[in-house]
Amino acid sequence: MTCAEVLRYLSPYLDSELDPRTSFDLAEHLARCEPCAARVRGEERLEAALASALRGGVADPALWRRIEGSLPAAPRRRRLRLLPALAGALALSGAALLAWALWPGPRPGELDLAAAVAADAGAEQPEAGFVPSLRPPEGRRGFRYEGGRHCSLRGTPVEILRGSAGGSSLTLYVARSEALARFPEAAARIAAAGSGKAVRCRLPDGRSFAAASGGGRLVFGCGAAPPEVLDDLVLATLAAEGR
Amino acid sequence: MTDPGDRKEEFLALLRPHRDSLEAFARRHLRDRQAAEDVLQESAAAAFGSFDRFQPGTNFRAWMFAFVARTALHWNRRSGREATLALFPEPAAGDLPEALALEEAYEGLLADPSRIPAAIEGSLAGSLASLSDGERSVLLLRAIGDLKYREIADILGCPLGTVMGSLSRARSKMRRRLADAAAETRPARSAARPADGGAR
Repeated sequence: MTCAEVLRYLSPYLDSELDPRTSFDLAEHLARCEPCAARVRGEERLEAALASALRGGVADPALWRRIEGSLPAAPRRRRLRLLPALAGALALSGAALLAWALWPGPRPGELDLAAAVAADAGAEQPEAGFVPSLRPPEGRRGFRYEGGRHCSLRGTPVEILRGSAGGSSLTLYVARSEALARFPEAAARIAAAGSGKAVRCRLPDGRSFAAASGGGRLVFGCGAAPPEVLDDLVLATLAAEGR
Repeated sequence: MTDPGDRKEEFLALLRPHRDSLEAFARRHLRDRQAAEDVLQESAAAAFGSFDRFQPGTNFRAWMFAFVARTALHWNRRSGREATLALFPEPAAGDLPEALALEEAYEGLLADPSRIPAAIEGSLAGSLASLSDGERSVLLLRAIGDLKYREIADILGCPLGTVMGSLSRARSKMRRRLADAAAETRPARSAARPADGGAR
């Protein structure tokens, strides 16, 4: 990617709306090009200051009291007979329950980074010719690498490595440590754990999750493998020599 | 059956965390305080009237912003504000020295974050007023609503490309105004440079 292309993609990049591959390429360019990186940092600061100024101003609680007071006691009633109304209510409750059961997003007590991983569909095909920048040694804990691709997780460029260990499939993610700026809970937990240690939790679907950071890299992963196996593979990836 | 009072309380409980953002959006969009309050009241009434159609588990914030954004746009059309705004000509592209001076002022601003608040303070109202209704809606839905491009497109009923184009134009205009403000507040040492003197 060229410096001119960075400027062209700046707006969607700042909004985390760039497609994963372009986002990854842009992040790679920023890692090599300090003038562009400084420009992006400046634009991020400016955008944050603008958003803050736009959101600012004195909120008027009296206005909202008036609005709340002016609302009728109930939403507009549609003329439903009892049976359809009950059926509708049951359908809504069912939909709500289903949405709750299937919702892959954050739950109380769950790491923000784990929530992003849980929401990752994970069904993409491996990228032809993809060579990960880091990977665990083949055979460690029975690890077998099956393929990978570039991707974007909440706007953060990441490399995804699919594989298995001891018969359980697992996914490892490699990103730059700057990505932790988007995941403050994970950043705090990893900082508290100290170097050479992985933090772990469970995803809503029961899979294990582990994350560690060091040497400018962030590695995290999830899978059905036992937590200690996942921890070890995450740390081994972090310690691996890059390509 | 659900008690009607429970439905109202349920609606208000969902609404409360977003009130400040909705209010900021309306005030920035309409500028006229009374108009903003009327739009908020109208939007809240319309949203509550449709609350039975809100799907639990979906994004209430985006759902609520849709009411406020559409009501604000409708309000502006009714009051003819859009037509009035269109009468303000866009600043001319300017000659090359001026463009370079603006670019330099803008880059100076980016390099010195301490000057950003003053530049914003000096340019925010003017830069918002320079945007079309559509551009302002997209910019505010993104900056205040923190909504995704797809959500903004759904709210405004336009293609994704239109959202991206409008946002890009809006940011470009905002930055031009910021550069103007930054040039005016440039530190004395930098402003005294010969190149600046010739450019301005």
